[in-house]
Amino acid sequence: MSVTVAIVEDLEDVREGLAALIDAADGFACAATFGDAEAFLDALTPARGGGLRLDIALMDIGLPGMNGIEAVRALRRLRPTVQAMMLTVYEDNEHVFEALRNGATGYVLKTTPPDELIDALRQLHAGGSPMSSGIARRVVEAFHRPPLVPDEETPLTPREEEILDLLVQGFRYREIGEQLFISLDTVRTHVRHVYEKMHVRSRAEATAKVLGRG
Amino acid sequence: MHVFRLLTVVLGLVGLASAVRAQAPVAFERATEVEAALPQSSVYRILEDQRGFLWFATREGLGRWDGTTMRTWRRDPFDRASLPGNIVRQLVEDNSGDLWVRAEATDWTPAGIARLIGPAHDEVRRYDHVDAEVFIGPDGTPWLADSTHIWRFNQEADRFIHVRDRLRTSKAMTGLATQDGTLWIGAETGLEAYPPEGPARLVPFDVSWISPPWRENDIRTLAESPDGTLWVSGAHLGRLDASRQTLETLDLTVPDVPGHGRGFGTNALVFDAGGIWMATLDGIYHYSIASAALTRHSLRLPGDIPTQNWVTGLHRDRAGTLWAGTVWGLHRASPRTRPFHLIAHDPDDPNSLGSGIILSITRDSRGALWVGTLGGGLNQITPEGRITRYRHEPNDPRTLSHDWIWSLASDENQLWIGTGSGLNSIDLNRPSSVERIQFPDSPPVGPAGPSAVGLTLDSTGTLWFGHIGGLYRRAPDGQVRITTIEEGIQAIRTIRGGAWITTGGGLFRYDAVADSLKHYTHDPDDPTSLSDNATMALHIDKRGHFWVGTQSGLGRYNPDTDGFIHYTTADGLPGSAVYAILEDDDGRLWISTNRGLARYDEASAIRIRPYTLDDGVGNVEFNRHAAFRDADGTMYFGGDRGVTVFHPKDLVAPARRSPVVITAFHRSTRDTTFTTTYVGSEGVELAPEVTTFGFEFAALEFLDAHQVRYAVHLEGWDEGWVEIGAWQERTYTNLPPGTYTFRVRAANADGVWGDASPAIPVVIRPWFWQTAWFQALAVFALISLVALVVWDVSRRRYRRQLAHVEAQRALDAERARISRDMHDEVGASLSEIAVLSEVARRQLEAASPSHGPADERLRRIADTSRAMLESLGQIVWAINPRNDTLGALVGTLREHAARTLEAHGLDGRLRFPRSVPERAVSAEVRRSVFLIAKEALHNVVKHAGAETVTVELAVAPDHLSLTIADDGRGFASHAGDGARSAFGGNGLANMERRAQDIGGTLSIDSTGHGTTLHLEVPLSALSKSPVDVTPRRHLPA
Repeated sequence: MSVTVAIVEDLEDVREGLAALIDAADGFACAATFGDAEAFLDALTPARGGGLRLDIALMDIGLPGMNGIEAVRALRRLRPTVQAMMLTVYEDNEHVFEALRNGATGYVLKTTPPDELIDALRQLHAGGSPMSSGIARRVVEAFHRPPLVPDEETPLTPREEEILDLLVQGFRYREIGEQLFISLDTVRTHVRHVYEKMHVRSRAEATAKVLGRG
Repeated sequence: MHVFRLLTVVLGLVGLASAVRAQAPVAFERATEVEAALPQSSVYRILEDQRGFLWFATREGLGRWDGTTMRTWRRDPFDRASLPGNIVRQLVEDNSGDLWVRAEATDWTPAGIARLIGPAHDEVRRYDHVDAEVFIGPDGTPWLADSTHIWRFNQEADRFIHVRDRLRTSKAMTGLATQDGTLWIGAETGLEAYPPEGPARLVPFDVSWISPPWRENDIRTLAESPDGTLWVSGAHLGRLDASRQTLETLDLTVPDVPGHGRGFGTNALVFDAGGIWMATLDGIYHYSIASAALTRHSLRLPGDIPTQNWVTGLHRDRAGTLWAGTVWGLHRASPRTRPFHLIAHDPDDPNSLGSGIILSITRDSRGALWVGTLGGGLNQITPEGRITRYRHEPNDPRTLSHDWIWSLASDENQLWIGTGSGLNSIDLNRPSSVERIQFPDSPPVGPAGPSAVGLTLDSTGTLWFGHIGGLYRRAPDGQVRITTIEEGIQAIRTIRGGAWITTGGGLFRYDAVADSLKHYTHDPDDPTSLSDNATMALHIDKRGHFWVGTQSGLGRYNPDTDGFIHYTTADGLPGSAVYAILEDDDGRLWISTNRGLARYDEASAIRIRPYTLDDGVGNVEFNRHAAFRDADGTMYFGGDRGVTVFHPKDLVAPARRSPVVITAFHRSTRDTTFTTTYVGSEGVELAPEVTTFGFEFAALEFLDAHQVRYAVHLEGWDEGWVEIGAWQERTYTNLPPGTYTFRVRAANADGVWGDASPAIPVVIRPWFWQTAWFQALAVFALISLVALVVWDVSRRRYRRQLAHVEAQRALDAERARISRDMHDEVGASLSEIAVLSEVARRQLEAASPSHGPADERLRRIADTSRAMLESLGQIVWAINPRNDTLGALVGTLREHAARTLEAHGLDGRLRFPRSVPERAVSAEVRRSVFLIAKEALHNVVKHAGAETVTVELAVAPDHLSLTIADDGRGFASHAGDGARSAFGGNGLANMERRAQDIGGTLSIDSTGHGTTLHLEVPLSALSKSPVDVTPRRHLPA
């Protein structure tokens, strides 16, 4: 059973090109493509007739109407199991971090060669997430800021702290694995967990803001 | 004293007017210096007020005397606050210190009652009772008695209120309240008594013995003696009996004085220990209560004025001096003894000295005093006071050789006489004849030349004297030895083994053993030398000090320096020439000069105390060597008016009795001077503009006031008592604000200080800017100002920082906008190109696999787009202000290096620091460092052919260093190769330029075994712009 991917991209050529790449890859199938986030979310909302089965959403950040970050937040509420991979032109981008904070678990550059793109999708599906030095720096900042909602705090484990620290210093996953005597996949899993904790934290904070506790 | 006292008594008995004057019990003299200052010479009343001033009521107002200055009060016809009339007939002081006067406009024309309000007495008030007598009532306040009523002063109402009516209508002459509370009125018609309880009554008295013209019932004066007896006087003197019921008149026989209105009218009664002094129209009478004797003291006035003894005022002051005011002047009688007496020459009195000019004095062993004169021969004064004159008789060789007697000396049986013509002697056993002594070796003595001077007998009986040719020593056996001294000898004092000899040409010390002379002379350049070569007096005191008197002062020999310590007029000597020196029993020296005597007292504050004519010395000038001291201490100094005789023990200045009073206080600003006449113990407070203030004061010493000396002490300013001599004022200028206390005290002529005056506080108020509160305020204001300035500067700096931060933020926002635009617009398009070209290539490949060139070009489009995107991404990364930290740079560098090397399968050895300090790095530096590293890594992976690459980054406190080393081919050995162009061409140049732009250095070392690139960037360059945007503190804008 192949991994089903939906593409949310406003540029039709890009959208179709990516769909073609994914369909061409073994074990991947492009389930649907959308030109905007609203249509994508409708397709996932049973109340609106949406029942799309989906493993990964490949989502552009800059979209007309609802942007990719909000779409990710909505996606996490609608389908917590769907992994959101952001499509971005630049890796080190505020929007990427915001999307990661709001529920995305991966990102990929639009210029990524097709083979690498498929590889990234595969790793994401396997539970791994990419994290560059710049993103890691921001993740550390986010966790070191006092939580707005203490009772919902999800502290990082020492290992996660360790990995984040190394990432901030510019170490690659492979180097981190060698240094910590763990497998590359384990590193990836730890990073995924970091993302998840960040999501929880982000949600709690959002709730707190809504409830006026912030 | 015995001989002297005996002498004076005897002389007094024989009535020698010019001889020693007997100590008169009371002698009135004119108080000339006070009279000269009086507003008018008729003195009707004399009063000493509570403060010690002496007041005189005259025909032209009041005078107040402080010993040196008279202040006067007169009638000002246009000022009601002045005396109502100038003829002041009555003057009394009430218990509050106010003075009350009864004045007349012309004789017997009443002008009214006035009050001088004490203690300053500046303010004068008049009262409406014109024809009434004022006196002090039983309560100590002023009372009035007119012909019909008695009045009492009411302080609150400031007027006299009626007490009661008089017993009978008649003119009231005087009033008195006795200690029992009874009020007595003396009137023209008798004496009235008003007891505090019981009826008023007339006091009867017997006047049958009084004969006309006296008005027998006239009562003029009432006085209560210290023993409580009431004495009454008018045409008679009487006293009340113990029951005070009747008046006993004393039957006193008094001289008859003709003329209308005169009589035994007593104007004042003054009590002393033994009796009563009466000021009458016929002089001053003293009535001795014990002996009932009446003594008349006639006042001597110049000229034959028949009414000269019309005594109107009488007062005895606290020093015991009796003051008597008459219609023509003022007299006084001091209780003091007169210490100086004079034995003089009286041409009309054979029992006087033959001449007043005295040259020598001695006393012989038989008790007679011998006085040698100039031209008057030798005079013998026996203890009985009889004077025998010895004269030169030209035809009688048993008389004196000459009438000038220069020198005298006496031993047991002989009186030795140095005359103007040789040495004579008198055998005291046969004093009727004189022997003229001849010296065979001596040249003839010329007439009147000083010869046989300085006669001195030593312990062996040898007579020393100066004579023609030098020093003569005549042994008891008549043998004479002569030592030549060219200078004329003046005096000789023998000492052990020799003598001191004064001459007109210096001082000699004669050593009898060596028969040698040491000559002391004056040297103007040597202050220890003699003050003058004209030496005269000699004295060796009890302590062994040798004194010499010269024409220029007194000298004390200092054996340590063999020189002299000098005392001159500057030290208090009344004159320069020191003629003779005597010593009293207390070791004090008595010195005669040209201007009086002087006492030298080492122990006294006044070391040299002069006695001059003012002290009664009698002589103006004294003469050399004419001095002698009796065994009892009596001293005789001869001058040109006779012999001044005194005993030092009598020369004690009277102690000070009065406190010093302040007579005026001045305060001056720059423009004006203001004077007040009274300053009380409450003191004075001065405004800050007062630049000068000063006190005037007086010792209230009414005898010898000129000898009083003053000392002042302004606590807070003077360090102690400041002696100011006879000055009676003290001025202070420009004192700082504060509180001071002024005191003044006075010393009598002997330098004995009296009590200090009461302290007078002086407060000088500060200017408002000198006050503590103002200075505190000023300091506060200054601090506030400084704080304000600091605050303002800080605020401006903060605003500048804020503006800078705003600008930085704007720049950052702009950078963020640029990066966002690049991302959104350029990046999106490029990524679209990349994706589309990839899609197109794949579609083309699927459609026609043989389209090699087109496929290749599409691939290159995709690659180029991706490469452009990557570069763009790095630029965006560099621009984004979010990454402006050293940590971001280091992390990104490492990640890039790792990814690059990993992508090319190279063995990367990355040595990066575990942690870097969090500090700002500007975008320019960040971008340059990153691009240099990227270029270098690019070269390594593309051209070096290396297997291992080492990237090492180190952060030192002051710089950042990056080293990239490979083990490849290097480019030096591969000229023309791609590496060459890459390193030697634009790539290398770009890297170097980027390094220079950020102040760093770049070095590349390339060999055949590899290339090492080293970059050093100073850390100061890492942050070219301040990123610290956090204000240090918040100040209100």
